[in-house]
Amino acid sequence: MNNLVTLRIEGKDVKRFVFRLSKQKIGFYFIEYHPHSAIVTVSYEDYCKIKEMKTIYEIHLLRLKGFVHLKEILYRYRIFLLALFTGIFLLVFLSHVIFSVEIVHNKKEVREFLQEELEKRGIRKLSFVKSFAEKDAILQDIMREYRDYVEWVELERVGTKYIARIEVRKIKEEEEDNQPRDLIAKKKGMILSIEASHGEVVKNVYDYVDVGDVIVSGTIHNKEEAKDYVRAQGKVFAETWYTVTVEVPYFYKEVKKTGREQKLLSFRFLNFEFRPFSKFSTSEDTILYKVENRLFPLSISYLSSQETEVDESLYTYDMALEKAHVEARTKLLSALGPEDEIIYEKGLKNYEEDSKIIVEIFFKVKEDITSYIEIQQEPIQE
Amino acid sequence: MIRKVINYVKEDGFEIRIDPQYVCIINYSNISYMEEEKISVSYPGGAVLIKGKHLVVVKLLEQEVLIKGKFSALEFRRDHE
Repeated sequence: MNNLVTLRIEGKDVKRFVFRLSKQKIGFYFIEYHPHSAIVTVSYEDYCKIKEMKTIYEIHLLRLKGFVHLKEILYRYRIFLLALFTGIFLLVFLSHVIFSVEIVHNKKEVREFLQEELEKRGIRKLSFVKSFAEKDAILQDIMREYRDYVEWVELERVGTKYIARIEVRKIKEEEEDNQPRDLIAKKKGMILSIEASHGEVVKNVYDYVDVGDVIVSGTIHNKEEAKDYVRAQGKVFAETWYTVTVEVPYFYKEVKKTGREQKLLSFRFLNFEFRPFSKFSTSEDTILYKVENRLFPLSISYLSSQETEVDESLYTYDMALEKAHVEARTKLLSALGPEDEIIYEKGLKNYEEDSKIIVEIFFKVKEDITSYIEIQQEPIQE
Repeated sequence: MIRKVINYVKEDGFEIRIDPQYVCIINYSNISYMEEEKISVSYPGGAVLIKGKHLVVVKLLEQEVLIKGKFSALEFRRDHE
């Protein structure tokens, strides 16, 4: 962009003056003569030269054009612009600062707990506002770490304040009243161990029990007479039996998302697709915006692409069998309790069908079969 | 061919372009004198005298001059060798 300056030259013989200036290599982009004056346009550098000349002619600056014009405006309004940008900066900066964190719950210890957890993760007074993703990650982290204590937690931003709400899990406490009960089996099995702190043990280890059979009785007998009723308490482990059927295909394909995401453009012409900025070799795409023409087979799409890892395997018979056993174990363990364990496993039958192998596996499991039932009390004979 | 293209783009030869209202002179050497009825512009090898009425220079750059007015004659004078 040329920096040009429009001047008005006033004097007795302006034409002669202009002619003299042209001899000094000053270029005039425009000249308009008036009686005793002329309006001329020169470059900014030539204007600086004219300004330095000692002359009887009056030189008045009328207009600037180009970058110098912009500089002149910025300089003229510098105070205003400085105040404006400082104000905008402060506004944006301060509106992204949190000035208070309020926790809503009626119990002080819960409020203190949540405050401590939030501060550990960077949410505190005079910290910066977190993005939606960061806030979500923090809440998920708290819920994951305290899954037995926290039912639900929420963080809402209201202006420059965070309001946190929490619900803790309500654990039903065992009734303190001494309602008599029996300890019974919740599953069929062979008793492996009995631990009883209250009540009368009526079964032995290696006894077979069915569902509902009393193992520890809450009725205390004396010579076949019921003398007292107590609240039976204990734990019983028994050997239980499961048969698990699993199908494993010989050709295995698993697509897993890595969590990486990219937004990019995609160009498609007939069956050819071109993605100049793609970072992933395999991905799952969601089209956010598409432009296409029905007459011409070219389309341009703006996609959200999530990177995937594709795991493809071709199993041999033995590999598929091994995988079936692993899958069966995993399936069974997910249905059992934390103290239960598999003590024996054996494949019952395997057969192939439609390029997959079907396996039936038998498991013996050491399982907690403890359950309780209240006793219907009969009046005790004195 | 390339020489022709270069010459066409570079334009470093003396040229006069004449319009009913304007005369544009490119790559001149010097303006000898400027009056309302005649302007003399010299170039390598000679000079051109522009005659007319109300002659005014409206653009005056190092390589280009634009003259406006009612033109009556253009006289070319060669330098004596």
